[in-house]
Amino acid sequence: MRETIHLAVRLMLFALVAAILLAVVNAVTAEPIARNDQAKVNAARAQVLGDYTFTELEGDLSEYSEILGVYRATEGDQTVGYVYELKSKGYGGQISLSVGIRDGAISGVRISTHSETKGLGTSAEAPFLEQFTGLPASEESALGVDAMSGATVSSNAVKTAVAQACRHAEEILGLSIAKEGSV
Amino acid sequence: MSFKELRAILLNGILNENPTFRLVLGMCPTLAITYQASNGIGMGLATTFVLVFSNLVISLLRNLIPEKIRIPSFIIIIATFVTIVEMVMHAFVPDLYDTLGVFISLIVVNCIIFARAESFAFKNPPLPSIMDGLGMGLGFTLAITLLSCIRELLGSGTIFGSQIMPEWFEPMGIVIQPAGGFIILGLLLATVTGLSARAQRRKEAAK
Repeated sequence: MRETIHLAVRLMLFALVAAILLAVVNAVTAEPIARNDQAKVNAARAQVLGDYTFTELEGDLSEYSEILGVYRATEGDQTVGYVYELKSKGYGGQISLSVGIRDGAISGVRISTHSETKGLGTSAEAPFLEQFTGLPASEESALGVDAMSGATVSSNAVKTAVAQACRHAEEILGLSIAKEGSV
Repeated sequence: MSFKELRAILLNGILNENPTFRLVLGMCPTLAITYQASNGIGMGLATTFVLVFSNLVISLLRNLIPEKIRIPSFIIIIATFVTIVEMVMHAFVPDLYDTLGVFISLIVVNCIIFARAESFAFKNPPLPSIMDGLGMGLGFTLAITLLSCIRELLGSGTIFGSQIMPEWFEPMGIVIQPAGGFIILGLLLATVTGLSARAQRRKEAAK
């Protein structure tokens, strides 16, 4: 009995020291970690549109199941474009992506996280996403992009998400769509 | 402890008791991440780093840890240490964290760390424990880098992202999947076992 208590106390001491150490390290690192994560998110937005100031738009997104957030990009007090953050259901789970829209055209599509089959779609990812750049920001043009061979489900997930961003831009933001070939 | 003995401990982890090929430990991360050569190196180095320090800490504390509660104590020590490394890396070396971050949290459940804590660091002084961690870590790194080079070459036609295979080569999708990893690992294990058995026989014949 006495030994059991002794062991329990010993183990508790180990756990206590561990907890204190973790608390101290957390206190020191929490702020830089938040800053790094924020910088990463901004970098993702900058990649699809450009390096601007981003502010989140308020509004009802319940009709747009895949849109997580809409961000207005401003330079000074001039609105430059919009960035959508979306999630879509792929083959292996959720795909998170950002879409930039500028002057009625898609300025870029970038995938931030996914759990699709490694190697199947991932090798064709860059040329596939490149196809969106410069397309008019309409549902039809987003859905008309060629899928990656061998990764149809993943391709379709990206296409529907981009199409939804375009629909939102047209219906809610009232952006006019650029004409084919004008960009 | 002499230099020779320390070197023997180091080489032991790389050759005779290679964690992947001889002890067959840590198979879960091995199969999960070795579809790309860069992953092999990343996982291997992150594991080596954690292994060296967890061996050191456990060896230093070995007289304070009662035999009966050694397993929960190891878990506390290793998990705490790995979490601290992850947080510090995330906060101050974000670039490194972006490449190694995923692996760091996987390392907590890597049984190589526990196996070395239990069978080596708990019974030996700090210096040999560090050498053991280093040897085991390097052995693991070499083994999974070899495995991931083969898988990347056959599965994508590249090594470290640069094209090696000629144009007509059709990548074998299965090799990139965990199932294909299992097959390649089996073939590698058979080769290594066969080679070392032959070396053993030669040695005996020479006697």
